[in-house]
Amino acid sequence: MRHPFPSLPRAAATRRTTVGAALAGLVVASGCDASRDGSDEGPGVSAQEDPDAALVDRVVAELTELAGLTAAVVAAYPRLAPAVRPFGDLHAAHLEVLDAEPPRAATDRGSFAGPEAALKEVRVREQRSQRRLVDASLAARSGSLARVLACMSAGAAQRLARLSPPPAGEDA
Amino acid sequence: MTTLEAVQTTLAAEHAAVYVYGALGAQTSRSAEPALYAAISSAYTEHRARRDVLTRTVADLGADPVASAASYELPARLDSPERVTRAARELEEGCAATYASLVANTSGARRRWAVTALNDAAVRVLAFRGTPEMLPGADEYADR
Repeated sequence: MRHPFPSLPRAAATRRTTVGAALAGLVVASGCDASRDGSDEGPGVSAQEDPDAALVDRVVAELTELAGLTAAVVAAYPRLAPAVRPFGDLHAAHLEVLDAEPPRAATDRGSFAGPEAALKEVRVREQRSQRRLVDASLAARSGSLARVLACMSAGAAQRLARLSPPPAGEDA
Repeated sequence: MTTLEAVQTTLAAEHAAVYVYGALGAQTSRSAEPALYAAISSAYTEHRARRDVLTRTVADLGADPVASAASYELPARLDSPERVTRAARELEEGCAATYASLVANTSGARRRWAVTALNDAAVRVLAFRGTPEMLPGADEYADR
């Protein structure tokens, strides 16, 4: 009788200190990379080359912007916090994984037409971001980075699945 | 790990998932627990389809697909809807981790398929009373 799930090699838990160094470290630690399907170049991405640096920078920029949006929506409509704050927490955690700092607080309260419009904007932009994380995973040269980005997209998909309709009534 | 090894490992996991979901379905009353039964039936159908895709993928890679084991180790007690639900949730969490590893070892269309499967497994965890995680499928970040 076999255990349902054979053990699989996992990427190391090492936090990324720089994109290139961490990717190189993860490649060494996990023994896997994106090249196995034939369409990428071989393994052994060096820290100097860092071919995924621009990709990570784009992901960090988008997540930072979204973290700012969710903070602004919560500041403007505190009653939306239960629905919106989980996205902010998610972005903060993902930015930490990518060794980037999340915004500390809302820089402003935004300019929304109302709570429903604000929540709709969060939903639309989170959906777009989730798809972009999938695209980023597909574009990553490093298999380890691709895995992390795919897991980020899965975390976003879970929160989108849980996103409830906007609450009725006026907001503070 | 090569792409072939990763696909074979994922296929082995899907063989197990199909087996376990069959057992979970057998332990679930369609009339008493219609929502749970529907969720398990849906998951069973999806995992069978993924198993079949993986079988074809291995053949496309020029190898013999790994066979299903005669039986698999099941959770010790499946005598309540709660335990069945938990077993299904843990099964999907295991699938998410498996597909995350497949993502790391593929590229192009195969990676896209693996990312889709990972996302599906992560969302299906919620149907079995799971809670959202920061990085489903990446156990090393589970404490975040």
